[in-house]
Amino acid sequence: MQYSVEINNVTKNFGKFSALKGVNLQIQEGEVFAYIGPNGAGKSTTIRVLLGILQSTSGTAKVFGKDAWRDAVEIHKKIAYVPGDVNLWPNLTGGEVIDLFVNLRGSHNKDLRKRLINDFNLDPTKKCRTYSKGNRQKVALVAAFASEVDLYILDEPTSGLDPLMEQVFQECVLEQKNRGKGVFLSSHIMSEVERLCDRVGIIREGEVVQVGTLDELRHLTRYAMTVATERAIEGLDKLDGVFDITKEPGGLHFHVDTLRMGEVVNHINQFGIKKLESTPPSLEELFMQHYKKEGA
Amino acid sequence: MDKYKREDWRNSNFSNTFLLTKFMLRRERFIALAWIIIFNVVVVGLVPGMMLAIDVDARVELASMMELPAMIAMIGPAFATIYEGFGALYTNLIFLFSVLTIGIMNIFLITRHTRADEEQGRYEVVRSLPVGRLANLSAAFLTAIVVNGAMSLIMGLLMFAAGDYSMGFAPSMLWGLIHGAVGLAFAALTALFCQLSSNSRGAVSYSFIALILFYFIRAAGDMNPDMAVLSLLTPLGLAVHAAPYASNLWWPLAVLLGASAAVAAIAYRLSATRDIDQGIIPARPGRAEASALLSTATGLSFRLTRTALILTLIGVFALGASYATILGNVDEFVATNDFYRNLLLTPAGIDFEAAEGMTTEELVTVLNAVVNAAGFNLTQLFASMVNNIMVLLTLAAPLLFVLRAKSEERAGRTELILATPTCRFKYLAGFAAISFAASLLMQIVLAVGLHSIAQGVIPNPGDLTLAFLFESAIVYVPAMWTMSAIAILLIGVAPKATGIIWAYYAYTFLVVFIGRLAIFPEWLVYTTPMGFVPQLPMDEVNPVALVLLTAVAAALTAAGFFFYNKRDINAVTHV
Ligand SMILES: Nc1ncnc2c1ncn2[C@@H]1O[C@H](COP(=O)(O)OP(=O)(O)OP(=O)(O)O)[C@@H](O)[C@H]1O
Ligand SMILES: [Mg+2]
Repeated sequence: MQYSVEINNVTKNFGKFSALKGVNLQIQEGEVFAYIGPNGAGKSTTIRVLLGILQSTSGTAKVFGKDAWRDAVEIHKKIAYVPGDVNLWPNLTGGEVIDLFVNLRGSHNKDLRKRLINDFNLDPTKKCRTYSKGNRQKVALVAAFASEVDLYILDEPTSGLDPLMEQVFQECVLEQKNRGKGVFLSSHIMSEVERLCDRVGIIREGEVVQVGTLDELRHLTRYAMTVATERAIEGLDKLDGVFDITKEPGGLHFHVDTLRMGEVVNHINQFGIKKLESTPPSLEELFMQHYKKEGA
Repeated sequence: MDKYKREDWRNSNFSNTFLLTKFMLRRERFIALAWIIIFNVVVVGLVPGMMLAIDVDARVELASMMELPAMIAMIGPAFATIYEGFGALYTNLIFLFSVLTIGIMNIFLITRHTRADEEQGRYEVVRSLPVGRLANLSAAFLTAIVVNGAMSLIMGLLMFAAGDYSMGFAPSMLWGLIHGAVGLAFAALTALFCQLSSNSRGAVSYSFIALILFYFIRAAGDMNPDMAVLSLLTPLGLAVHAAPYASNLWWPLAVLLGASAAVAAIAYRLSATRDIDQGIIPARPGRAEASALLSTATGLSFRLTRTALILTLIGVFALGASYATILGNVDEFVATNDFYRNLLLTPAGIDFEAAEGMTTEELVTVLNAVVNAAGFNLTQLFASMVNNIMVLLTLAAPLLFVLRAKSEERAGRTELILATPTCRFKYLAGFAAISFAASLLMQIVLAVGLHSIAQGVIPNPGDLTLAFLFESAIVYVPAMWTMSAIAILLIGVAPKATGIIWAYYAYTFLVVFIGRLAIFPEWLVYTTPMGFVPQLPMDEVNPVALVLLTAVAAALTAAGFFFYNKRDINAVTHV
């Protein structure tokens, strides 16, 4: 397998401020990769470096094995980009803008274009000045998915879409995934990430702090547990990896490090388990932990 | 019972109008203040200066010039020869353009607070509050009344303070109030168009079309005594006929206010019947698919600047043609007017002293003899001056075309194009090419425009051939290219400082324009590209200098492209 995106030690400074502090990422071809992190973490900056719109201060960024800055035009033949804040030409219609992008990318599939406009419920005859934010985003999405490319780079592409359109978007991504196309998706919408993505990378303050599949990331966090036993549990608070014990009507409630789960269950077993419920951390909780973590 | 109904009606329609008005005035305060200050500085500020600069002889000359049909068409009926004092002359000279400017202010003011707000979704928020159906429109009108009222009173008082004996208190107030009334007339009209059109751009366009139509209908009425009433059917015509400091008529003020109220009432009616975001005239659907033009980045650049380019070319043609209308009696102007004499003869190095007691005819004969003895003819000198001034005016257009590359970048649209397989070179080249081509086209059109009218008005058409006009206009092109090239260099090197080109443009304007009157040291013009342009017929065409200028433009352009290729593309939303 070849890498579609390879970022090695990329830094980017804006004057004295350093927006990226040595980012490393490898993404495989055909992979749907989610790039998440708090506001101002450096997601859009990374994407702009990948697109050759910004030049990295140091390090190398490669797309399909080519240098993101030097070979930008070659690379762009195989990618489509949708920004979160889509600003379009006020006096062109949506249809004109879609054709412009598709033409510039060099592919042309009229049926696909028609289907996508229909699916996204877009009126292509309206001037862009009259489109809402969501409709401008739809224009950019239709233009992207109507182009024949190998990698979609999407920067918060659904921040203005309603739930129905979000659904259409997810279908489009899954369709491309099934066709073996790669997607690099920056997003704040966790359900979207959970449904679509093979792997997740988390960036915080210009550094990638975690990369892995959702399961792998879950392993690094805690399950919530509720147990009821025949006899009162002793020594639970002495065990490593158990936190936040509270008594509740249904039994004892606490959090367990995923890696300590076995030991803890064994310990509880001595007291005669009547009931045991464990809830995996929700994605939100998982990310919240990463977003809030102090320091490096 | 009746009383409650009335109250209900008032509540559902006008509730919270005053609160909205206060809010609008808050949003408007800086813009309104800027308008009031700048407008008064220009319009009233000219009064003392002009009173000093234009002595009694010059006043008589100016006043008689305003009796030319072309001038009546441009600025309204002539009356400055009838009335004494500076006031009448000044009104005759600038009143029409002054009130017209206030009209433009109101077009934007009303659109800003009605259609534009609606388009941006702000109006929806307002409507969700407990405000009446017509409260927003009423608040917009009240805001217009406050702003125009302030403008009227301040201007009236300032005119009274700045004027001479002929500019008394009551006429000064009439001067101010007519401004306000014309402002309100356009406010009402714009409010009407805001109901008709479904977007703010349409409303502004309709309003401007109305303004231009009014201007021409008024011109037709003023020029033909049989159709004089036409002029009075337009707000602009009513305004000039009030003629403060001259006939001092007050009834046009009443007519203007009454008509404004009537139009406002229609706007109210339409506003009550239409839905939010809709217009009475349905929006025309645009193209569902792009034409072949939009398949390349260069095509996009052209598409984005096309309308502006066409309008610029029409404007250049019209300006050239209207300058040419004076060519018929240019020798008279030059013979009798010091200002023109300086403007035309100083650059040619011709000394012409008017001897005492000569009639105009004798002066003209002597003048032509002197000019011909120097190897020129007056029409050529005049064309040369027009070229010079026109280039200074129109140079802004090619600069704007190339700076579009930068405004696109700030708006975040450049990165959308550069994320496709379009190289930066090609992207910037589109805008650069349009800018360069515009300079060339503008000069060609200018020559054609001058020529078209000149042939009809000059006594000896052979004096001013198309070949001469082409040559004398096109020698400017390398200098214009150099200005665009400086802009390109700035876009490449210092995209945040492209404003420098406007400062340099202003400097060029000053040095070259005032330089004609030989006030500044001569070497100063060589700090601008214009200094190297031969002024035909006085100078010979200097191919070496022109080629060098073109080479400089090419080098600056190349440097601009080089740096553009190496720098980050920055949208304003990301900084
Ligand atoms: N051109 C620029 N000049 C200066 N600072 C910049 C520039 N572009 C981005 N930054 C800064 O770099 C940091 C990272 O910004 P970036 O846009 O990459 O964040 P993000 O992760 O995309 O955030 P969000 O989730 O809000 O989109 C921010 O602090 C931002 O202010
Ligand atoms: Mg971002």
